[in-house]
Amino acid sequence: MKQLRQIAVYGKGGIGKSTTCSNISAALSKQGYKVLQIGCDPKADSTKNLVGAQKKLSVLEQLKTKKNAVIDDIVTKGFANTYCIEAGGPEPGFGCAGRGIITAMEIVEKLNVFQELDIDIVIYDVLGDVVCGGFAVPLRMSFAKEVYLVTSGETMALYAANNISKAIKRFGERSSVRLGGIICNQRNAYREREIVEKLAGKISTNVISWIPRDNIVQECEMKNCTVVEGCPESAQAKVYDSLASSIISNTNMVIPTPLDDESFDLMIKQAEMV
Amino acid sequence: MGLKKTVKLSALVSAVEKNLIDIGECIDMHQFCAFWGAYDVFSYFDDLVLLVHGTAGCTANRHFLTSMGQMDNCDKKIHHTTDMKENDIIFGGEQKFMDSLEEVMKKNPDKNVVVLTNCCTDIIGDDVEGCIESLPDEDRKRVIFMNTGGYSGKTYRDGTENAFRLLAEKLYSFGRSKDREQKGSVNLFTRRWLWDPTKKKEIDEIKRDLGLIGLKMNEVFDHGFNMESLEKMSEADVNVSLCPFYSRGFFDQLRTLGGIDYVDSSAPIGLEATMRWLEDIARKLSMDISYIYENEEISELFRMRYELRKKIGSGRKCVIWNQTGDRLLSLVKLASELGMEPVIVGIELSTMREKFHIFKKEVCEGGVEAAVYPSKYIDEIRELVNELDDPVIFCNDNFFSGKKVFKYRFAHNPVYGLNGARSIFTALNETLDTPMNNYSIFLEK
Repeated sequence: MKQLRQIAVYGKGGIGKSTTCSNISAALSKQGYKVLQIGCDPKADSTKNLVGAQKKLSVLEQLKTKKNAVIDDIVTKGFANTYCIEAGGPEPGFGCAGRGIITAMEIVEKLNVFQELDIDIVIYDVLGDVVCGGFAVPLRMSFAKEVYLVTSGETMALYAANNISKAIKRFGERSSVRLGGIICNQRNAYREREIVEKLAGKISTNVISWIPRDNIVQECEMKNCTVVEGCPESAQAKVYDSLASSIISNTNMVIPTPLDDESFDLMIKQAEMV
Repeated sequence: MGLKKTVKLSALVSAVEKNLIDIGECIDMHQFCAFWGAYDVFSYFDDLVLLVHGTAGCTANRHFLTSMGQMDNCDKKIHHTTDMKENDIIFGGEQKFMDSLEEVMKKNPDKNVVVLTNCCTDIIGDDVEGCIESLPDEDRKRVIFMNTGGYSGKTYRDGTENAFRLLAEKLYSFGRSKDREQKGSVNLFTRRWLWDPTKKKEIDEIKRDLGLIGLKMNEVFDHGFNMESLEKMSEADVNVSLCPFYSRGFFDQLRTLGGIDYVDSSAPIGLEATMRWLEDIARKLSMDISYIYENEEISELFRMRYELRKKIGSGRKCVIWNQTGDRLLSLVKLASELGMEPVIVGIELSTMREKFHIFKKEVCEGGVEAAVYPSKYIDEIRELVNELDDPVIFCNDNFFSGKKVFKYRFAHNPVYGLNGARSIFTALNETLDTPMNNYSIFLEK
C-alpha cells in the first residue's frame, strides 16, 4: 500500500503561497505523482493557475446548494492531471471562514477523496496565518504531517513564519506534524539571504529552496497558468522542479523552536546593524 | 460542641466583598447564562413573541423544562428560532434572520418581537442589531433585541437585568412621567418558578397583608403579563418583591427612570421578617403603621411564636441547609426569631457573590448573623449535626436520620406573609412533636 504524503504550506498573506504551491503541484505531476492541491482560503483562488479557465464550485458553495456533493462536484482536473479542490468560504465580513475550512475538510474526508482518486501527494495551500482553529485544521485531524513556510526577507513575512512555527510546535508536541523547511520566495529585500538563513537556524530548520524574483511568474499568471506549464524550459521552472524534488526527498522534519517576540525583534535588529 | 470549624456569616460576607476568596463557578440556577435570564423575563409577557437567532438547542431545552411552564406541564408557548445550521455559521445567518423576523412579525401582527441570540451567532459576529436598525421605523419599534450568547461570560443575572432594563426603557418610551399622585398602591413582583395554586394563594395573602396597612395592589408582575400592564406599573408608589434577586434590575430601572422606590428587604418569611417587610414598605411611603401591633391576628401570631419559642428552648442550634441566598437569610432570621442559634451549612459562595446586594443589606447593614460551616459534603455535615445537641434542621431531604428535620416544601406551601408565618409555626410545632424521623434514603433503621 502506497504512502500518502500530505503537505501544508503556510506563510504571510500575499507572499506567494498559491503560486509556489501550484508550481510544486505541476512539477510533481509532471514527475509522475498523482497530486491533489487543496486551497484553504475563502478567496478560492489557490488553484486557478492549474485549472486555467475551468471553474467549479468550491466545497462550501456546493454545501450551500447541494446536500450530498460527490467527488466530481468538487474536484477539477488541471494541468498535467493535477487534482484541484477549493474549500471556499463566506463573503468578507460574514460568517466564519475558519469554521468553513473545518467543514470543507470534513467533507473531503467523508468523500474519501484521497483513496478514491488514488492520490500520492496532497498539498494544502492555507490562507495567511494560523489565525484560528479553522486554519489549523490541515495541521490537525490527521491531515498534513509536513509543513513548509513560505517567506521572504521582509520583516513581517519573517514574523508570520516564526508565528506559524509556534502553532506547528504546539501541534508537533502532541502529534507527528513536523516542519520540513522554509521556502524563500525572494523579494530582493535588504540582506535577505542572511536574515532568512538566520531565522531558519533559530527555529531549527533549513531553507529548502531560494526562489528568485522573476517577472516570468507574473507573465504566466496573466495567462492563468503556472511557470511549469507556461515556460517549462525557463530557469524559474527548473527552480520549481528542483523544489518539488527537494520536498520529495526531504527527510529533515523537525519540531520547530520558534522565537519569542523579544528574541525575534533582537534578531531583526542585529541583522540591520550588520 | 461541633462549631470549631465554623466562621461568622458577617466575616464570610466581608471576605467575599473584599474578593479574598477564590470563588469557582458552580452548576447553580444562577450560573445559567444571560440567554436563560433574558428568556425567563420576556416569557412572562403574553404579547411578546420570542425569536432566538441561533441554533435550536437552547430554545428546545427551554421548551421542555417543566419548571419553565406550569406544574406537571411543559412551557406551551410557541417559541421561534432561526435554527442555524452549518451553512449559516459559515456564510453568516443575517439573511436567514431577516427572513425569519419578517415571518414572525407577519404571523404576530399584534405583538412585539423579542430577538435573542445564542452563542454561535455571537461568536461568528452576525450583526443582528444592524439588521434590526435597517428595518422601516414601524417595524423597528416592534423589536426588542439583546445579545445573550452565554459563552461571553454574561450570567443569568446579566440576562435578567438587561432584559428588565430594556423593558423599563420601553415603558418610559411611552412618555410616562415621574410625577404622579400618591395613591397608596404597590406593584408586586412574584416568586419565580412557582405555579398555581400556591402562587395564587401567595398573591392573595400579600394583597391581604398590604390591605392591613391600607395599601392596595397596583400590578402583579407574573406570567401572563402584557405591555399594557407594564405601562400601568408606572402608576404605583412603591415596588415590592418576593424574589429580590430577580426583580432588582427592574426595580433599579423603575426607580431611575420613573422615580418609583422599592423595598429591598429579604422575603417576608416568618413573623419578624413579615413585620419588618411591612414596616419598610410603610417607611417608603412615610406611613406610620405602629397600630398594626394591636391587630388581633398579629397579636395571636406573636402568642403563637412565644409558645413555640418556649417549646424549642433557648439557644438551641438550628442547622439551615438552603442555597438560594435570600431564602437562606430569611430562614436565618426565622431561626433567630424563634430563639435558636442558626448554623448555615452547604453555602454556595458563587450564589452569595451573585446575590451579594442582598447579603450586604441583611448582614452588613441589617445585623443578621449566623455561624457558617463551610462544607457542602453530606458526610461532614452529618458529622457536624451529630456533634450538636439535638438541633432543629431546616432541610428538604432525609439526610439526618433520627433528627428533628423541618422539611417545609416552599413550592407547595404558604410561605410569605402572616398566613405563611402561621403555617410555618404550625408545621414546625408538629415537627417538634413528631416522633423522631428514622427514615433516610441513605440509612434505614
